[in-house]
Amino acid sequence: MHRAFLFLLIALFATEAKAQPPAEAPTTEPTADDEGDPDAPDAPDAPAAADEDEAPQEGESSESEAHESTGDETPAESTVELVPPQVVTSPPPPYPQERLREGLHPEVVLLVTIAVDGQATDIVVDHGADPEFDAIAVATVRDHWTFSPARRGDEPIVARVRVAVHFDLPTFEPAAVGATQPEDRTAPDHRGEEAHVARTGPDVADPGADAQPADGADELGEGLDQEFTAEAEVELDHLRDRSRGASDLHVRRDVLEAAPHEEGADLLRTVPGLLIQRAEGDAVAHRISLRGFDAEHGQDLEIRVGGLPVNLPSHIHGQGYADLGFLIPEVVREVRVIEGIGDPHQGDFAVAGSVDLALGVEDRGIRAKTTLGSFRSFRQLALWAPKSERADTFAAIELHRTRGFGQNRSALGGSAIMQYGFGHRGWRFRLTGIGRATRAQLAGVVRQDDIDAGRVGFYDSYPDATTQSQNALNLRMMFGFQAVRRYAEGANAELGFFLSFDDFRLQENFTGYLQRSRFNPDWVGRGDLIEQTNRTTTFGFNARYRSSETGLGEHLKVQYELGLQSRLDLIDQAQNLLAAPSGETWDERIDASVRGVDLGLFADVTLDIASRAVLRVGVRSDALFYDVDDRLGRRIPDFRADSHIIGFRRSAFGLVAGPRTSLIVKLGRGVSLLTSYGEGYRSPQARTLADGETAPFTKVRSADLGVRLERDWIDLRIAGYFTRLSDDLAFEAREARLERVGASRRLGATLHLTVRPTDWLVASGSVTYVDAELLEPPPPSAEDPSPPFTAGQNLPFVPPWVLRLDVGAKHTLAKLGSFDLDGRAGFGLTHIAPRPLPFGGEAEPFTTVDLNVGLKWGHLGLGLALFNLFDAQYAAAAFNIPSHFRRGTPRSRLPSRLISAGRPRTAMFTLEITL
Amino acid sequence: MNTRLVFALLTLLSACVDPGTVAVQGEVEVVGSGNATFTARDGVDVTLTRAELAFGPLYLCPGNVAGDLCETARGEMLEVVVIDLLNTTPARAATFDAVDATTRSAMWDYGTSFWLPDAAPTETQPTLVIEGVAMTPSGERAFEETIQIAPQRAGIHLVRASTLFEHEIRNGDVLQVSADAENILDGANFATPFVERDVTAIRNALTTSARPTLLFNP
Repeated sequence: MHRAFLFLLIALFATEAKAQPPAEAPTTEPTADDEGDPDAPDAPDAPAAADEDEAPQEGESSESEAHESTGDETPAESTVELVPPQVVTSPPPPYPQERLREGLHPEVVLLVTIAVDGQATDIVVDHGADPEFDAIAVATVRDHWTFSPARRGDEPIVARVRVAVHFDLPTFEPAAVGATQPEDRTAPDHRGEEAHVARTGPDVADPGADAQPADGADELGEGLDQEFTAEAEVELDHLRDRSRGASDLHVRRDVLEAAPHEEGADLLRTVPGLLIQRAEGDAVAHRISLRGFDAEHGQDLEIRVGGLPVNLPSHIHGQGYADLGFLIPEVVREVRVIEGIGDPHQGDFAVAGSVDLALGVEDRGIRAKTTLGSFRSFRQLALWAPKSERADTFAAIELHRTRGFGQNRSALGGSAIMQYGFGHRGWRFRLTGIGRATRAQLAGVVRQDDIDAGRVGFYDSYPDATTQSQNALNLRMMFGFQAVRRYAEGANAELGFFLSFDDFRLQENFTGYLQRSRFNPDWVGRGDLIEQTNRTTTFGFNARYRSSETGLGEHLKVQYELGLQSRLDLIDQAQNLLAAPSGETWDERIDASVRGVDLGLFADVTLDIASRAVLRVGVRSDALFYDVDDRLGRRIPDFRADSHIIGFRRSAFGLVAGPRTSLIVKLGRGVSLLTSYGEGYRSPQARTLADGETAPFTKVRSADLGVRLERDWIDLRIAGYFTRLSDDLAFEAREARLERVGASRRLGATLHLTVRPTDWLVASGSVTYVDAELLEPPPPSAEDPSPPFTAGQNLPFVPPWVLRLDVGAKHTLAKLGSFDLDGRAGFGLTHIAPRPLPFGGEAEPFTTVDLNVGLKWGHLGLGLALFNLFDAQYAAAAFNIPSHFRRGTPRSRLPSRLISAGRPRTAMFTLEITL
Repeated sequence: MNTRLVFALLTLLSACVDPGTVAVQGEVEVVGSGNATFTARDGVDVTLTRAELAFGPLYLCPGNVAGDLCETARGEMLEVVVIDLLNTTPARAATFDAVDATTRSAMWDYGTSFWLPDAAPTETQPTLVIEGVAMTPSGERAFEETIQIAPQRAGIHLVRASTLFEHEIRNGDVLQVSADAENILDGANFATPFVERDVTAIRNALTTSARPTLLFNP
């Protein structure tokens, strides 16, 4: 049934796409390229004015294509009456007098919102020259350019477009600038360049002529320098987002919001090959798997939110622990993903790749959103995005409460995210604050054989006190400050500071009644309720400088970047066994403090070869220092006489370095060949280090090779990848920690397709296959001198196939009174193939479909989200370990299947008021 | 493309997953030494007419040392089987579940185990049931004894046998468990009904010199 539904939708989508070509206006597509002339200059397709490598941002792709059209061009051939915004007048920007001697021909690319009245608003610099030129460009477009709004039928609509403002050096004397004849570019561009490029006119100005300026020219001509006080602000998130290879992609807001998302972390499901599941309740980080890596709670995926690092090193519940529970989906503007290693900026935990979630709110105003739904779930969102500020300024708070599905899954929590972006000319600053507090009961795991025998329900929790006492608490506060300075010709510098505090407390029983106290070995069978606490305080800063582009000959341009990242982590952690419900501690396992410093340094050189190929060669080096106070280390077994005072203090140091390279070759007609190679690392869990040990980094070597087809309405990527890991980790559920399993490699491929056939429909689908193999036996131990291993053995927990489809549609349905009635619908489909488990187990495959429909009329909005529409019963997490939950039966020591249930069908109704 | 074909291909490729180890099953057979007549402590001649030893649960461990290092076993037989010590014909008694990996040691109980989280051991079978005749200095004495031997520490099995074998378990393996009554009862005094000292002697024998022999695929 699910499969049939999927293919029906695919077929439907394909039909739509075929029947409705993109609602683009014809552009000044270069004829040479059309004729297949490889030597012809690149087509100035959407973002080409700036850099074809740089993905179009914020949904402007089709619009900007449209914007490149000029007034006399043929309207779009589309059944949808969509008319892009048009430039009505575009007087050229004045050239600042004191810069004439520099002989520059800068171009400033702006992102502009064209309001329904044709007003240009929310102008930000996407790619600038320097603050002065940027300011002039912003002011010129804002104050002097006029537009006709985009239209759907007869209705004017808001559109976001990218415009380029070009400064040509006047050939006349500076004194004559004020009399320059501005060029009104409502006519087609005769040079075949972007129609929206306005330039001061060596070709139109006659220094000696008594020309009469067009509208606005007087203002422009007088006091050029002093009047342009507009802030040429920096689009901070996109300053260094140049593509790094076949698996470097941006997931834009329209795709992010196509399918319903109950929480912010769900947005990552749109990332190709990424599986994210909330298996341990609302206060424990998601389990993440990405293209062959069981990233657990973040060990293999570097995650940043608003530029702030989320991963916590040496966390007691998993290396690189990254809880995205604080994330409010409404304030995520874009997700940038680099799968694999290719960017020197990628640091610790970038093993499978890295994810950077940019924060911002495009729809400005005040929003209140109330959601009620299944399992007595309630969510309240209040969001304030001042209309006078840019998208990166907002404040949002969310409170949620649920009884949870099944048993023992109640949760109560809240998040607040605030961001304030401000700047002046070439400076852009950003303050970010994030707070979160959540407490949740945990259902824990249940044995599959107990489910099969009817002893416990799939969504139940064992009725014992030790399992009913499972819960988790997470408190987190993060603050960040970023300052960016842009200089001439694309040079820029960045400085950032951050401070984070995370408090984690977990009581979880994975195994029932197996544990024996090491404190007093006669204490046994009191319930394996493991208590973990972890408090991490982090200070950090980062800085980088990127040079301007320097020409080395006619066809070679060079740009270099230097950067550093540093952080100090102060970690206190403990692990105990608790008796329930009394809460008595009946064993102590860990009581430690860790101090860690990570110093990262990177350099990157970009070579632009004839505008046809971009080669990036970089290197990154990290030094890590650890100071460990293991207060329970060197424990004396109970059968030995006391010989010393327990405790083990030690320090360790490690150094790692590796190259990061990428090559992008433009083959023409929007096709690029992309390849990258990089070596990344994962830091060790500090408590595992011996005194003076050279910290053994897990080294990852990652290579990608792919092809990208990027046209106005389609973005297709096909990439193959290979990854080799020197030392892999796997989850050891008995102690709820990670254990070394040995070297491993992944070989796989991803197909990712995003199409926007009309302005109201977007679809994004991906299929990822990976063969993840263990290359050598896990390290022997006294417990297991020869761990089982067969050549070609697949890594546990890794699904070989991950399929994801997101489809979203938005359209005006009717006009009721003075407001449009807008409708939206979308769905997300996830298919996960069977996952191997340790000791020969295999988790069942599953498919989930989430559906989203909504109406908006004026200030009111209504929505219905259905998660797991077909009520598929699946395991969000599955393990294969010994466990013993049943009294009155012999204890089993063989691994058996344990599952943590995934969410059943859930309905959520939303009422939204926007002011 | 045909929907079924697509999913058939997905399923086919998914089936290529190699999880390494796989679950297997084997059989446990029991056999006695048939040694019904022997001379016990203090020169008492004993003739057994019934001698049954309870055996299990049994755990096959990966390391050279069983016990705490056997949290995850390679194989197990959770039920308790009875070895007829007087029957020399091997008899299939139960099955054991396992994974196809190497086992080197084992641990077991004799019919009575701590079933966590219970605080007291649970008796499934009496450890040893013997009947017969003892020729004592004062004459012939018929006896019937039922002995219970429980592990003394909760969660710890009575016998933790190290370095028993190095065997890679395969599906269909047969694990033969054999025991000898004379060795077990060697330290008991048959002149009088068993007292605590006799039970201790039997316990010591069952945990050391007289513990059953485990042999794969005899």
